[in-house]
Order: sequence, then structure tokens, then C-alpha cells
Amino acid sequence: MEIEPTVFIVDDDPAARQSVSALTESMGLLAETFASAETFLETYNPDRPGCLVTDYRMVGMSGLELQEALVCNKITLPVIVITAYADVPLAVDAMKRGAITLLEKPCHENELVSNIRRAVEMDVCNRQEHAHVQQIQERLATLSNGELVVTKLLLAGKMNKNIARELDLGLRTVELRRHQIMKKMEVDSVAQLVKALLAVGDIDWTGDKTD
Amino acid sequence: MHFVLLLAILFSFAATGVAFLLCRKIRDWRLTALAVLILVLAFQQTYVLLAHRALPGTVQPTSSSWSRTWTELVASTMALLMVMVLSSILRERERSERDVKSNSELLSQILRYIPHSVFWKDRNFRFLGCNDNLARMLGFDRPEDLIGKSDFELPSIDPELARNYREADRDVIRAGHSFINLEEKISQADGTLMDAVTSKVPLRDEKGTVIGVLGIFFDITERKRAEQALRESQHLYHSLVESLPQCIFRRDRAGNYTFVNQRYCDLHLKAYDEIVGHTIHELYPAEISKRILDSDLGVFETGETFHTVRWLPTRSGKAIRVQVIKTPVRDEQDRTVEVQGVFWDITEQHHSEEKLRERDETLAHVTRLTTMGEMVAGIAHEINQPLYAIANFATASSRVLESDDGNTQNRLLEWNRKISQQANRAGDILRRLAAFTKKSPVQNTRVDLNHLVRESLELVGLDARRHHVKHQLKLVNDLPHVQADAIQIQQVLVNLLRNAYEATAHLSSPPHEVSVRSHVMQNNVQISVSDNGPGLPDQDVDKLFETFYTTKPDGMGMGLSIARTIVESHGGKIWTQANPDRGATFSFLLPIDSGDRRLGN
Repeated sequence: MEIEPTVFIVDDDPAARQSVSALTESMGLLAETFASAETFLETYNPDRPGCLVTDYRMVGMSGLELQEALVCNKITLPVIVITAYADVPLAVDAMKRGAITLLEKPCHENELVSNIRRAVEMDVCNRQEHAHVQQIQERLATLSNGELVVTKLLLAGKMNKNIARELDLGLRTVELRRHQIMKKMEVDSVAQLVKALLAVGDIDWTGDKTD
Repeated sequence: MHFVLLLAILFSFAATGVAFLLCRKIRDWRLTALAVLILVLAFQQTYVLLAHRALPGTVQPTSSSWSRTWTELVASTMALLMVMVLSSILRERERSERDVKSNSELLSQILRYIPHSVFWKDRNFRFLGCNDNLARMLGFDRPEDLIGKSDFELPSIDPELARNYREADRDVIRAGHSFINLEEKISQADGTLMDAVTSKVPLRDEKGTVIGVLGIFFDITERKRAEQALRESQHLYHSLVESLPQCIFRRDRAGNYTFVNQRYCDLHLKAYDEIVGHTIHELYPAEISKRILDSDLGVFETGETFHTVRWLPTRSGKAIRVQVIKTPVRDEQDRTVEVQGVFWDITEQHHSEEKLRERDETLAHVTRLTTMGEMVAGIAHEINQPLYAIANFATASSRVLESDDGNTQNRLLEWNRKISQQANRAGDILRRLAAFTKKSPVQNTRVDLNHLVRESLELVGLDARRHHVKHQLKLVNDLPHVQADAIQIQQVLVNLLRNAYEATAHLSSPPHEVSVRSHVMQNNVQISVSDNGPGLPDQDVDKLFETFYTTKPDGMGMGLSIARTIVESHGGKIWTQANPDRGATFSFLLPIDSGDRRLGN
């Protein structure tokens, strides 16, 4: 089910992109090469993890323009920009657009390797986190309105009998709902429930479901 | 008879008395003698007449015919003589009177027309007379109007001045002194004061008694004014010359000083008299005085103003930078007899200019680097592309090999590392390319390398001076021309000269010597630049001409490699060799222009 990370290489010079591809393979990673930024954008599936290594100056869309397009499309793939000649304004531009680094050609030994590794790890990590949050949100979505109300009070640290009194429910009903919540959210304790919900951040407590 | 005789004797006495009186009156012995003769004759005739009349019929002792004839003859002769002498005397008298008259007329003419004022006064200081000039000056129509007046009675004369005149007059009259050329003021009728030179002498009668004073004066107001103007102009000139911040001097052809101003003396720490009247050789070392005299000679020969800027040694031991202007000084025949020089210290200005130039040079360098930087950014992408690939491939290979075991693999690993390093070094080279200057299109012309050497020496004059370098030029005459781009060859020369200067900088003590020679070698012209610096490195002498090879701590390693590129592109050759004693010689040769008739064999 896990998709293997891929290094997407964008360079208009065939030798350059092949060499990065070779480097990537030596790292045991998958590589895909693109002759232009445009072809990459056309074919890229945002679900695919990995990182992007792009030349700065290319025929057509430049490396920085590619970065901009990624930001627009909400693609969070880590970007490494390679340039023949780096100056401060260029570096600032690249970093602003979310590049994790800017490397000068030719890259020093293992400089590119270490940066690719870091970028891929970062993406994998990002994606795992993203997936986890998504899972919790999905589970949260299965809770009924009544269960959501109880969950909210549980998060506030209230005891069962207090919740029953507050919601004007029978203690047994509260206990039942609490059991359902633990089951649906796949947690064993209130502490685990709190931890899972914290990762999600904002929660919509006003569910529109009925019992 | 006796009565008559007595009468005659009486008459003769009376006549003698009259003659004596006449003599005194006339004061002329001839006239007196004549008068006596006339009287004697008259007496005789009277006597004879009387004797005849008184004694009629008596025989006279003198009445013999001989005696009578004799007497009559003497009488007639005497009468004739008398008439002659008288007429001569009368003529002379007339002439003398005429002379006197003309003399007095001459005198009055002189008095009337001389530009001097003349007067004479009596013992009571009253005017006896004067000439028209003085009368007019004092406001009178005629000289006669002044007679009888004293100075105090003349309305135009200031009483104070009158007292002065009186005192002088008194001195002359009482003590018989003479004043010659006494300067005094005279107040004139028109109210102005005249400067005059007066002479006063005593006026004497025949006996030598002082009877008055004779004065004569003339107007020197104009002269005084001119003198004053001259004084003022001299003062002006003096204050100008002495207050100017410039040193001023005059020298003759032989280098003798004829004038210097105070500033000049101060600069040379000498007194005026120690410079003026002495030669330039006493002021400067022989080498410098000769150079200065040469430029003086230029002014003498061309008669034209000469401008220059030069270093001048001073007694304090510090050389100053001076701007010099030399102009010819001409006599009435328009011959240049002296040279006048003005110079002033521009050391400060020179230093700030030098600083400015250095800053300009730095700026030019930065500008060049910036331009180059932009250029490099363009070509770096092109050249770095393969380098980037090499580096990546190499890194990849190394990584693959690292994961395996085996001896051959280790070697491969090493080589791969080298590939990677070389690729990086190539990138470094690209960055250092920033030092290259933009290459302008080559323009080959016929070039006189001697001329180019001199021009280049001027270009690097600043460096030469900074390194206190003494040049030796051994340029052959009538050097054949070469076909070359003058600017590029100049770049080579400047580079070799600068290297030579920097080499001499390693010497702790002078002299720092750099010699430039030119000569013909077969079909080539060879230029050599030698220094007396520390010489060449022991090994890898040929590497000196390689790009980025440098022995200087702040060198780029570009100069000689560019020089070689330029010389070789002109079909020439550049090389270096150590000097037998010390230092190094860098030489290059360029083929002689095929059109030059002096082409060697």
C-alpha cells in the first residue's frame, strides 16, 4: 500500500538529468527524469512521495517558476534548486518559494546526495503525518452527534457522572456512548484520544448527523 | 709876448687837465692819447697863430721856411692820424654798444623762454625782478608787477612757505651761502603746490658785496609724481612677488641666478645673497642642475614658455612635486637673455590625485569584475553543465563501488574521486575567470616598439616612482616596425614592467633598477625587461606563463599567461631567463613587418 519515494529530476540538459538519475539510483531510490518543468507538471501525481531536483535556468519555464506553480497547486514536494551561478538574491528567491536548498554546479561530493536524502525523508515524514491526521479525521467523522458532544466533554476532563448530569442523560447512556467513541476512534484510553485529536487541531464539533 | 706865452702855458695845463679828466671818464688810453694830441696840436697852432699875430713883422725862430714846412707836415699827419684813430674808436664803440644791446636782448629772451623760474631780490628780500614764467605762476601779468614786493606780500604764497623762503634768502644774503638744487614746495596762484628744485646764489656788485639773491627753480612735480608712481609700482611688485605662494627666480644662460624671491630662499634654506650671483650648480646636485639647465636651454632656444611638472629635491631631504612655468626674458633687441621661472608645490594635490587615481583604478577593477561576473554567469551555465554531470556520475560511481568489496574497486573509487575533484576545480577556474578583461577587436597597425616602450613607461610612471625604480633604456636607433595591435602589446609591456617593479620591491635597499632594451634578432624585434630583484623560482620557470600560476601572494596568475597569449597570437614568442648576477629578464620577440625595408637578413 505504501508508495515508494521517487526523485523527480527536471533538467533540459540530458547528461545532467541522467547523472542525477544515476546518483539517485546509487542511493537506492527511484528516479524519474523530465526534460522540462512543463512535462513534469503535466504528469505528476501529487500522491507520489519523494522530492524534486530542478535546474534553475532552463529553456521554457525556469526552476523558480516551477516552484511557484507547485505552491499554486498546493503540492508540498520538497524542492532542490541547482544553479550554475548562485548569488544572494537568487538564493533568497528560491528559499522564499519553499526550496529546501540551493546548490551550485558542480555540486561537491555527496552534497547533492545528502540533500536528496534529507528531502525524501522530509517528504515521507510529511506524508505520514498527513496520512495520520487524515485517518483520525475519518474516524472522527463516524461519530454521531451525541458521541461528539460526549467526546468534547471528555476532552475537557469531565467524569462520566458529571457528563450525565450536564447532558441530563442516564449514566448508563454516557458509558455506552463512551465505549462507542473509544471503539470508533480506535483508542484505549482518554489520554490516547486526547493525543489523536490534538494532531488534527481544529475539530468541527457541530456535526449534522442525527442519532 | 710874455703874456701870450703865459696864456699858452696856462692853456696847455688846462688842456692836460681836461685830457686827464677825459681819460678818467672815457677810460680808454687811445682816446686819452688822442685827446692829448689834439690839445697839443691845438696849443701849438694857437701858439703859432698868436705869435704871428702878436709880433707882426718880427722874425720868428721857427718861421724859417724849413721849420714852417716841417711844422705844417707834422700837424697835417697828426690830424690825419687823429681822424683815423677817432673813426676806428667810434666804430668800435658802436660795435660794442651793439653787442651789449644784443647780449641784453639775448638774456631777456632766455629769461622769457626757459622753463625755469628766475628771480632776484635785494638785501631787503624784495623782488628786483623776475622772468615771465615766475610772474605768471604767481598770478601776475608782467614781471614788473612783482618788483618791490616781498614773499609775504604775494597772495598766492602760503605764509609758512614764505618763512622758509625768507630763511634761505637770509642765509644767502647774510652769510653768502649758495644753495644748489634744494627741493622745496612752491604754492602757485592756482592754489596747487608745486614741487621744485631751487638754487639760490648771492647777487654781488663789482666790489663783491652781496647786494641781493638770485634764485632759479624748476618744476619737478611730474618727476616727483613719476617717482612716486614708480615707488608704488615697485612696492606693489615687491609685495606681489614676496607674498605669492610661488617661488620665483631668474637665471641667465649660464645658470647664474639674477633674482629670486624670499620664498625661493626659504625653500632652499639659503639667504638671497647666497643664491643670487651664484650658479644653479651650487644649489642642486649635478644630475638635477643639468636637467634643469637643459630645460632652461629649451626656453632660450625656442623663446617659448615652458610648462612642466617635476620632482624637486629640497634641503630638508624631502622631494616635492612642483609645477613649473618658465618664460623667456627679452632685451630691447628681442633676444632672450634670461629665463624667468615660477613654480609651486603641488605635492599635496599630487598625492590626492594619486589617491584618486588609485581609487579610480580600484573602481575600474571592480567594474571590470562586475562586467565579467555577468558574463561568467552566462557562460558558467554552459560550461558547468558537463562538469555537473561529471561530478554526479563520479559521486554515483563512488557510491556504487563503496558498497562493494575488492582491490580494483578501491582504485576505481580513487579515480572517481579525482574525477569529481577535477570537475570542482574546473568550476573554480570559471569563477576566477572574472579577472579577464573584455577583449576588444584586434587592430593591427605598424608599430614602433621603441615608441611603445616609452609610452608604456609613462603609463606605469606612478608604479615606478612608488617603487623608486631607476630606468635604463637601451633602445637601438631606427628599429624596424612590427605589425601589431598596439594596445595589446602595450598590455604586455605594462605587465612585464609592473612585474619587474614588484620584483625590485623585494630588495631591502636601493638601487631598484629596471632596464628595457630593444634590438633586432634576425627577422624579429626583441624587447627585454630586466630587473635586479630576487630572480626566478628554482623550478617550474615555464609554469610562470601558465594561467593561475602565481608566485605573488595577491596575484591572479593571469598577467603572464595573457601576455603569452597576446605575443603568440602575434606570431611571436615570450620567455624568461635568470640574469647572470641577479634578477630576471623577461623577453619577447615579434616578427618585423614584411613591408619594412629595414627587414633583417
